[in-house]
Amino acid sequence: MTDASGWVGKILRVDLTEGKTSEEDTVKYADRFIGGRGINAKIAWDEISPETGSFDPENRLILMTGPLTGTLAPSSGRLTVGGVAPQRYPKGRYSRSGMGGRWPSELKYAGYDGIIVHGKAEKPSYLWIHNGEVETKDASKLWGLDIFSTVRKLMDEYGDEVKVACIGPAGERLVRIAIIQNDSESAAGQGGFGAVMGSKNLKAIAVRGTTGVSIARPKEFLNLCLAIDRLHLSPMKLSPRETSANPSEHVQACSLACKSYCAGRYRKNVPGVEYPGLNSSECFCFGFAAPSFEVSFEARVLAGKYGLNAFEVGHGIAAWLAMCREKGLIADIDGEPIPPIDFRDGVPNRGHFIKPSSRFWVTLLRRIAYREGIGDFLAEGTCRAADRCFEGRGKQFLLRIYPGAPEAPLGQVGHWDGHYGWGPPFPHWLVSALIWTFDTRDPGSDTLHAFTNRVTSWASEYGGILTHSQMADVAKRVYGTEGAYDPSVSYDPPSAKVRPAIWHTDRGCVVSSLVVCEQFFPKIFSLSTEGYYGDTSLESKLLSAATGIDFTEALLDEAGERILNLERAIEVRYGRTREDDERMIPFFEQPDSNGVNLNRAKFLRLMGEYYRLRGWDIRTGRPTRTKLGELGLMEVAEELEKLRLLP
Amino acid sequence: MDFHDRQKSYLELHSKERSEVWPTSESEAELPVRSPISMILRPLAAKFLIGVDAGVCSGCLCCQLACSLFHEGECNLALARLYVFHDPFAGKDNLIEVCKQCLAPSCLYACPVPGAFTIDEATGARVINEEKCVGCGRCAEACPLNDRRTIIRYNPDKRTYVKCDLCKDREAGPLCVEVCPWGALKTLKQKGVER
Repeated sequence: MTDASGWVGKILRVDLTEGKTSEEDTVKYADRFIGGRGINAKIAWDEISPETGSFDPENRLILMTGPLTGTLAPSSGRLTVGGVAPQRYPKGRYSRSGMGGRWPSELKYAGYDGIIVHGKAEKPSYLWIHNGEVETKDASKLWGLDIFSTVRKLMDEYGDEVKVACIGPAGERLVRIAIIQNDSESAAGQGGFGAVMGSKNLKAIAVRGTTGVSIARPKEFLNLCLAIDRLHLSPMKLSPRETSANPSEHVQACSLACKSYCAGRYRKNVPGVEYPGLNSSECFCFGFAAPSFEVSFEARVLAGKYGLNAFEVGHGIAAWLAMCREKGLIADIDGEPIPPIDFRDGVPNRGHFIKPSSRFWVTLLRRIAYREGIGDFLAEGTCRAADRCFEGRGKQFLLRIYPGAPEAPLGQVGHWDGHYGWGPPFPHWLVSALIWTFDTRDPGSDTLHAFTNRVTSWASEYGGILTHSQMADVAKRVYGTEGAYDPSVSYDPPSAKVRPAIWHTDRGCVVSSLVVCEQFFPKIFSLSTEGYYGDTSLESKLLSAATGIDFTEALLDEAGERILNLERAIEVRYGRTREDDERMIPFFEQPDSNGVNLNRAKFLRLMGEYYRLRGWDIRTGRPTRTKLGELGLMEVAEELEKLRLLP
Repeated sequence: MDFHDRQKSYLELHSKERSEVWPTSESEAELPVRSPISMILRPLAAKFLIGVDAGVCSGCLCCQLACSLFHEGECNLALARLYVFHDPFAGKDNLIEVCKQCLAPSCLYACPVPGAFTIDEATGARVINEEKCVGCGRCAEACPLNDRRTIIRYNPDKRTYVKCDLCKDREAGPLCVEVCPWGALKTLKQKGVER
């Protein structure tokens, strides 16, 4: 394993308090935890105590790529960020976020699989990493600049090929929804890790590398990548030429080696108007409704410049403010009126349903990023703001937006959960509900889409091409249950929805450990194979060819389960119990777009089945010693035993 | 060094070393296309070129990664034989640089080592023979398009220079064209060029 390809072999550790850097071998983590999300969880388990707060110097900011990052493997240019996340509510807890763009692969080309940052710099600093050399530099001239200017300044200093991940004014002011961003739009959005960077006085990490990622079996790897292209794995059209008469309508890839076509309708060079680096997911889901595309686009760019989580502002804060306005709690933000909810246009828990002016967005974003006026409260995230504003009377609306509210263990906007126009209808959203129930953050962008997107893009009743029986055959093969995609199967048998929830959760761990994009993997369906079965073993085949270590699909799935159990153990160490899981239920008890709501008693049975299939204790929801032992996590079992947290 | 300087040095190099470098025996001069002399006088044109449509390039860099994977066995942007650059703030199309397989290839003329720079018979690609290349770098200097050192690159492990060979050893043709998901790269026939 020591000379395995794929990983570049070293993890950089930076102690900002001491101003020291050191290197560690990736191998000591990689054999069991692969990379990205897996290694992050292991480091968090080893180094972050449950008492550590988000803004304590002891908190770790972990940026970890995986063995496939920076290779030709489709959609692989990503990393996973980990650490105690300030966005979690009511108290910061360990969480994760993903980041694409060019920065993650550049980090590997510079010689590191990942960075662990701890401590706090005395004065504003940034890191300059180039081909295995690391310098901590003075960032006093960068402090206060927005993200675009920071990137630009560092590009001027180190050449236009340098890649910069940095924070904006929001991160500097410890706004709990601050992002870490590279290029002009690729960000680690969820969790508020920009504020963690800000709390460490770390403005930016600039990287330049000119080495490569070695591949153990290059021919096999190349043929595999070409075969994936030919497999025609998506019902979406692949070429912009097929979908648009105007060749200027196209995307900038948001991840290295990505051939997907997530949101190609958005333009890079709109005639007459040039936007800095408009990206694929730009207007896709940020929720800034506005009178025109241009305004909503400008609002999105502004959020990126300030370093704010646009998704949270659009779908969380703005939606909540609009609900508060309906009840007369607030009328405007510094004179900019909050627009009324337009019920004709949709169902309210998302920013789409209000039609504010451009000045509203500008004012709101500015106030939050700079903590001015009411922005100071809103910068704490909606859940905390609801505690402090309007004598707590805004708290009643939280449940419409945040699963788990008002005691939410997550504090992130519900989406693709079947409610308020997001995602497929009942009973498909039972799988979403289960995934939400057991996650440690909004599972949207690394676990949930993999299931819900399959339903909405393949099933014939939603405009896809597959019939129920065709989908049932594939479901049987992948999940071991025919009912996964069957709209007539809901709570019975319980395994019909629980098995896909477990499968996708584990696979989500694998995907964000490799690190590839969950919009692309796993491939469950294909147009070009018999029986429409895609190929769920592609991840393991790519990993084997890249590293030279033979991973079977089963072995990789076990690694996914191991990572998930370790994350669960971290939660249990924080004190998570079955009661916390059950706090997700009230959100789903609200009627969905078709008026269907969750049946609590029956859902509790599903949860019971989930704990049983997981090998966790049904009463407390904690992993058992047997399960942890099976997964090779004995040290975790020992520690939990000491803390009396084993069932 | 700008283009004119480079051209000048190429001419100097050429006049000085031509007789030493290229065999001038009559028998060899009569050989058809493979003869160095006939190549200089009348180089075989490339059968096709790799054409660029930067307007649809998404900057995924699949071409660069596939190129270095196929030729060098690793994913290394710095060893790819073509180059894509994206400035996130320019609001412009991506910059794509790829060898034009010039009709009169300065790189080939500049090479001082017999047999190190050849023209592939099947494709007409201007090719560096890595077994004979001594890594002097004159080809990279001579190339008028190589300002960013992206078309003819140095491979420090092999200690040779590498450049686009139109994937002459690959039956399916240029790999970069095949992996491009957007059709930003394609093979183009040269019009009005006799081979």
